[in-house]
Formats: sequence, C-alpha cells, structure tokens
Amino acid sequence: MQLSRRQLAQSLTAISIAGTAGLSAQVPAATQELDRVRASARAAAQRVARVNLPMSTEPATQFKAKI
Amino acid sequence: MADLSTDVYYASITELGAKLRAKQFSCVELTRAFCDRFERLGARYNAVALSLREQAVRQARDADSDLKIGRIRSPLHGIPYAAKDLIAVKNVPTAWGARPFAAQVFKEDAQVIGKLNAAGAILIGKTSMVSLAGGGNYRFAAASVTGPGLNPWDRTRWSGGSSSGSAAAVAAGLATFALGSETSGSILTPSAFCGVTGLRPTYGLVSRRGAMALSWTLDKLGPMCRSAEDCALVLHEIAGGDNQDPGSAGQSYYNVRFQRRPDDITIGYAPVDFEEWTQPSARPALRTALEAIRAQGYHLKEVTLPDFPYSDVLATILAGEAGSIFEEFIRSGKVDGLHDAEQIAGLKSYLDLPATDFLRAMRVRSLIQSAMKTLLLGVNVLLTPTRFQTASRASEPLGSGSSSSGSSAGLSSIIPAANLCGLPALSLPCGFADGLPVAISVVGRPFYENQLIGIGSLFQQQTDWHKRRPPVDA
Repeated sequence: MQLSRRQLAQSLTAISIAGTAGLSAQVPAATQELDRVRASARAAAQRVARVNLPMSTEPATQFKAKI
Repeated sequence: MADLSTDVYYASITELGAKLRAKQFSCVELTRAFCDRFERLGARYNAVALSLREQAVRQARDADSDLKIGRIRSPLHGIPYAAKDLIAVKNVPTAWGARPFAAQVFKEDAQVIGKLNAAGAILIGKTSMVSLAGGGNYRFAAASVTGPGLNPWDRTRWSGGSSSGSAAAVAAGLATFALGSETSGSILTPSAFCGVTGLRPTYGLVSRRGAMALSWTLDKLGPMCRSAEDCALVLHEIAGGDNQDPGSAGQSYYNVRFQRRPDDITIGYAPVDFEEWTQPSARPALRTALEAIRAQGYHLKEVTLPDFPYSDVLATILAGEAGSIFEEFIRSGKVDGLHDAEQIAGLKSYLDLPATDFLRAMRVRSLIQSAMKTLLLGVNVLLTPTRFQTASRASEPLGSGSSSSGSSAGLSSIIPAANLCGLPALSLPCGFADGLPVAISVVGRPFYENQLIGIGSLFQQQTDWHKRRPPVDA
C-alpha cells in the first residue's frame, strides 16, 4: 500500500495525538500518586513529632584520639 | 542417576546430610535432581530469578571429592540451597528483582555466599523478590521483574514479600533452604504465608557485604528453612563478624545443644493479638499453638508494647536511608522502569523527606529501643501471630479486603518495633486457615537466637505443621 504525503501526515498526527492522550492520562495519575504518597509521609512525620524527646535522644559525636 | 523419592525434596538438612554420608546418592545426583525441580517447578510460582545449574554441579563435584576422602566441611556439606536475588553471586546477574537492574553483574560473591561455599553448601539458583526489597512500598504483588510471587499452597495467593521466591522455593521443595533478607517483615511474612520456618537474626550478626542495601540501620540477612533446627545450622555458618560491614556486631553464633528448661523461661504475649487482631478463621490454629506452648511449661505473662508510632518511625527512617542509597537511581529517572506505580511514587517521595523528620524519627527510635529493653527485662521472649491475615490474593491490591483491629494495641506493631531495635525473631508454622498456612513468631533479646531456636525446636518436636507439604507433586 502506498501512502500519499497527506495521508502519511494525517496518520502521524493521529498517532501523535493518541500518544499524547495516553501520556496526559498517565501524567496526572503519576502526579496524584506522588501527591498521595507525600501526604502520607507528612502525616507519618506529624505523628512522630508528637513524641516528646528528652536530651538523652540528642545526636552526639565524640572524637577519640586513642585507638 | 539415583532415583530420588519426593521425600528427598522435603528432607531436613540433617536428614539429607546423613543420606549423603551414607552414599545413598552423591552430591552431584542430589544437585542435578534439585536443579531439575528448581527449573521445572520454579516458574509455576514465579520463584526463580536465575538457575545456576552449571556452577552448582561443579560445586557438587568438589563436595563429592571431599566426601570420598572423609572431609566434611559442615552439616551443610552437599546441601542444595537458593539465595534471594539481592545477594551478589559473582559473574552472574543480580537484578534485585527490578527491571532497571536486570543486567547488573558483580565481580565478587556476597560474604554469606562465600561462607556457604566454604561450608560445602551448593547454590542452585537465585530466587525472585519484590523489586528493591519493596523500598518505596508497593500496591501489587506483581511489583517484581519476575511477576507476582505465587504461593505453593494456593497459586491464586501471594507468597509474601519481599523474599517471595525464597519462601516459595523452600515450601515447594525446590531447595532445602534459602537465604532471605528483612528490613521490616521480609523474612517473616513470606515464611508465614508459605508455611516455612524463617529466622530474622539480630541486626549485625550476619554480614550484609555484597547484598543490596535498602536501609543501612535496618537490613538483615537470614535463613528460611524446614525447621528451627535447620535455621540454627545455617545461621551457624553465615553468622560472624565482618570489618567491611559497618553494621557488623563482630559476634558469632554457636548452636547450643543444651537449652534452658521451659519453666525457666517467661514468654510475653497479648491475648488481644490472638482473639481480635487476627482474622477469625486463623484464631483456632493460633489458640491451639498458644496452648501447646503453655503446656510445654513456659511461664506466660500478658504484656503490651509501649505506645509509640512504630510504623511511622520505621517508614521515616527507611525513607531517609533508602532515599540516600537510591538517590541517583531516582533522580536519573531510571526509577520509572519499575513495575508498581506506588513504588515509583514512594521512592520519588523519599527525596522530599526533610532532614528534621529523619532526625526526629532516629531520636524516637532511641526511646523505642530503651522501652523495648525494659519490656524484655520482664520477659525472655515475646510471642505473637506472625501475621494477622493469611496470604492475600495475588491479583488484588495488597491489603484490600483485609483489615485488622483490636480493642488495645497488644503486640500488633511487633514487626516494625522489633526491626527498629534489631531484635531476632523466628516464625514457626502452626496450622492452617482456609487452606493457607498460619504462623506464630517468637521475638527475643539481641543475640539470643539460641533461645528462639530452643523454643522453636521444642514446639516442632510436638507438632508437625512444619512437615506439611503443599500440593506441588499431586
């Protein structure tokens, strides 16, 4: 089958549009998924933040010259 | 070639070792038979990442040569095993269960592989796993380059994660034992779902050199076997200090034959775990297991976990560490090659974690460790259902159709709590619900694996749940 340049251009445009449509459907889904996961992480961090932290839990470091 | 009966595929390490030394069959014959089975049946459960037949047969020839001159390297001499595909085996692919890493090859064996080689064990293949051991979380069992891990007891069910293939392989008699890894639940969960005995060692007891890092301060490697006794035999070979693993505790494990008497051991448990948190159909099996433990003479004491947001603390620490470990993978966009949309999003979100959240979680972790230490001063071990639900359907979103709740917390958060503290645990099959395995776990003090093995061995001397076989050969 031979395609005219016009037919070829039309088919490429159709493929392109179809591809974009698929992509645009995926992008919001991925964005929504990321937003959902981020919200979940923020909620977890807020629950962790409710715990009172005494001085004994402070990170510390000591340099020991003696090996 | 020797005609090996099906019993051989379900024999314990000790039983197989005795048959090899009695020359009922050679190491090569045994290895070839297991390789055939691993390759033939492994795909049925999506359990196989890679068969290593050629090198296995070479190893088996060496093992036979040693046997001929009476040199027995260890109780694992000539025993076929498989390793989770996050453990490096030199010069063959180690894909970490993930499509973007499918062509990854390391030049060195992981430390545990080297130790098992030296012990004479025969590595027949790599087992499938959830991509990147589940880092980032995942919604579907199919979050793996090998597809969803399918359960030998019912192939419509999941084999559990992330050590999916290791559990399925042992349950289906494709390997005598397998290595798994756990960051939070990845040995215990698949062990419970597939009805095998799984040991999560104390953090730092087994070197992780050559294994994929997901979380530096949480990752452990451990055995998945047919019995508690087999777990002890494998742990004896793989434990030990390693100055190249910063988490190494520099300790070894010695399998002590003489255990403390049951009436000298106090076991902490929470009735609410057994009566409310667990799905109703699994309660009879768990009640029976609890009563069997009580009848052995242990002192049972009701306890509850101190009140902390365990899962949130663990998730935050995991996010910080895994985000750092996989930063380049995530930033480069290669992460988009994973299978599970939730996992992709989860890993991406790790890069957004504020340092303040990570530090706060680490500080709460130190409080949790102090509180757990106090709890374990009052009892020797904790006893819980390993999972409150049996294996979920492999095709459905994980967690759908199952929800647990209880009037009090009990020990329901024991998996994140114990992993945050690096505590050892042993999962023991204890019955069935709706045709699927149910299991209990004993959780102990750091480096008290012997106590867990002792409790597990006694339980398995008086029950036969660990000897039940799924309908693989029917």
